[in-house]
Amino acid sequence: MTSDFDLLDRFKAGDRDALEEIVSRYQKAIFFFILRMVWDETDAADLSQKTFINAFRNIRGFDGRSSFKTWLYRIAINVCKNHFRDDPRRREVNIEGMVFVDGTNALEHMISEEERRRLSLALSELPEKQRHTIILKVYQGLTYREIAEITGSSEGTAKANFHFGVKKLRQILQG
Amino acid sequence: MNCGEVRDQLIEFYEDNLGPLDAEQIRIHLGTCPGCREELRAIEKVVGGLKSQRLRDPGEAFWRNFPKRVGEAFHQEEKSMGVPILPRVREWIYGSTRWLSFPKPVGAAVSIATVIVVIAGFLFFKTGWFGTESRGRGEETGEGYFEGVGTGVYPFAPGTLEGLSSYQLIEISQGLMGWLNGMGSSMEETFRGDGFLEVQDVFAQLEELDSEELDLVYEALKTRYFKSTTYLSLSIG
Repeated sequence: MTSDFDLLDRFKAGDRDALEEIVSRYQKAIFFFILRMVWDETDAADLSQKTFINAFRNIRGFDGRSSFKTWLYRIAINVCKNHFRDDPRRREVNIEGMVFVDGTNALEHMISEEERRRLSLALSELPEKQRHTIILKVYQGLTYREIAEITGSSEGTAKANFHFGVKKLRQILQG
Repeated sequence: MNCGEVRDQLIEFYEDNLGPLDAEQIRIHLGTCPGCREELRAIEKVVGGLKSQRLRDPGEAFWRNFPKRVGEAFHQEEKSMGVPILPRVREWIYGSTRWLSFPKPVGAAVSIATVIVVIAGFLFFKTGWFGTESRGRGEETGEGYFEGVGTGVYPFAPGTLEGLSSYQLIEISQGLMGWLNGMGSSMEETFRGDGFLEVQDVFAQLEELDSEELDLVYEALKTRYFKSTTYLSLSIG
């Protein structure tokens, strides 16, 4: 598979197909990440588009010290921050109909429907960095090192954010 | 290991992030401690509960069209804004920038010098310093706009950031630009396509930042670009 850096070089050289190839590669990760932040599919599509456009606009500012993937997540977080800052009412979360349980997953039996709903709401109310860390770790499958790159912290802080976030969710779940 | 030490590491244990020795010690402890086993079950419930939730997929047609949609939006925007001069200049200086970390002191100095040269060139040309007949708008109107590089307010917006020289403003904006790039904000929002700084835009960006982000900008500019914070306290503080 062509590396991200090769694709980016092709894009910088004016290859239009490279842009679409990069988007294809990361669209699902970015879309679902943003969807878990904004809980609205239309907004998630718009903000994902904005994330990619911001990335391409600033591609010359990408210095290659981090991976392109973590750089994209960083941009996505900032795009979402601006989205909420523009209209704080957007923070009100409505997850009805958005989430379903993976029937093939043995984990579904661990938790009741009501607990699942409370868990989703509780996640959306966690402090920003804990929320980002849990989403990136649990749903995006990133390592602590990658999460640290994205959130601009150390690996230890990323671990602590995950730890305290899960602890807080447990307390909320236990009521 | 006592219960406290085990519980501190249970999430890492559940996530399979521990080394084999630590993991084995925890396994042994869990075999004899019902309290810690209960604790582990609670963690499994939270992380497992989160993991069991999937989101509705927008469908194959969406994924097929999305890259095209982004491509079209990007090219549309590129067309309407024009290609900015600065990235071109930078690429011309650096070639491929993949392995360069910008801003670096040398890279930043070259870029700043480039911006100054472009502005100076424009002013020279407009004021007829090359000996052409054109004498520039300043002389035509008698408003004294083009007295010389750095002494007139043009091309900076009058009334903003009084007391700062053009050079200082360029430095602030350059530093801000580098930082904003990392944030994913637009370079074009900071630098217009014609290569001139629009100070209002730069500081409009600053106004949008929250206090935590402002602190970061302030620190980045202070440590990377200025020995003194005087300029910044005028504008940000």
